[in-house]
Amino acid sequence: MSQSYEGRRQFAAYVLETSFFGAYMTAIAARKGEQELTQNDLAERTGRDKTGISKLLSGPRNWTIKTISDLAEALDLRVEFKLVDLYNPIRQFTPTGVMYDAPSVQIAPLINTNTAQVTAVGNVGIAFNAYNLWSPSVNMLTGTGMIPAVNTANNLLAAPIDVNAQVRVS
Amino acid sequence: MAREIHDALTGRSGIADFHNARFAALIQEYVAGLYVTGSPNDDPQELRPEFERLENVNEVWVMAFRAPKFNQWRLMGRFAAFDIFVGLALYRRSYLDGTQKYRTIAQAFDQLWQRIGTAPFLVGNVIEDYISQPVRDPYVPII
Repeated sequence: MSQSYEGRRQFAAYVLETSFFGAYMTAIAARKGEQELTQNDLAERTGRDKTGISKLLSGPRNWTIKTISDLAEALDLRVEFKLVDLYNPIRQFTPTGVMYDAPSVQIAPLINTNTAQVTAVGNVGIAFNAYNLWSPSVNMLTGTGMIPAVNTANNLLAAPIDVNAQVRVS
Repeated sequence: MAREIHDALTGRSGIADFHNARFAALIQEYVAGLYVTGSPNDDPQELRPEFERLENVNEVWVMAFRAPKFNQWRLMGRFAAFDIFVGLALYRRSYLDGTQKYRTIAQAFDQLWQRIGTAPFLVGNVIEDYISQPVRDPYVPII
C-alpha cells in the first residue's frame, strides 16, 4: 500500500510541476508577443540574474511558492488556487471556502489503466488558473494552454483521458 | 495496441523496471495536453527533448523516457496525424547503445510501419506541426 501511494505521490508531483511550468511557458510566450518581453526583463522583474532565469525556464522543476509568485508578478498575472474533490468534482476547496463549479466538470481518471499509480493522489485533485490581469475576460492560462475565459469549467485535471486515444500502438 | 507495449506502459508487464512514476507522468502530460518538449532535429546538444525526430531517417520519432538515467527507454514511432503519435517499438536505451545500432534500427522502422498497412504519416518542419498542446523545441529560445 505504501509503495503504491509513493508512486502516486511522485506521479502527481511530476504532473503538477509540468502543469505549472507549461502554464508559465504559455504566459511568457504570450507576453513576448504582446510586450517584446526579454530574459533580461524577466530577470529584473523577478530579482534574479539572467543565469537564474535561464535555469528556471529550462524545464519543469520543484518550484517554490516564492518562485511561482515572483513569476506571476513579473508577468502581471494572478495565481488562483483550488483543490478539486475527486469524490465530487464540482466541489472545490478554495482559500475563501467551498465553491461548486459548473456541473459539466468531470474529473476523469488520469490514465485509464485501472492501476493505482496513474490516478490522482488521494481524494483531492489540484488545479490552478493564472488569469491574465490585462484582459481577464479573454484568456485564462492553464497547464493545457490558453482557453477562453468563458470556459471556466476546464482545468488541468478535467480532460477526459484514455491513454489509447493518442498514444496508439498497433 | 500491441499487448506487450500496452502492458509495459501501464505497469502490467513483467518488465518491472519500465513502469515508474516519471514514465507515467510523461505519458499523462502528452495525453492530457500538458506541456511537452520536442525537437525535429535530433538532439545534437543533449537538451533532452521528450519527443525527438531522428536524423537521416524518414520521419522516425522517439518518445524518450530519460529518467532515471540508468533506466532510459525509447518508444519509437511516427505521427500518423496532428497530435496522433503511434508508437510501435519500445527499446531500452542501453539496447540502442551506439549511434550505428540506433541508426540501423531506425532505418528498419519503415518495415515496422508497413505492418500496420499503408497508413499515411505526418511530415512537418517544426514541432508545432506535430503537436498542438503547449510544446517547446528546446533548441528554440523561449525569450
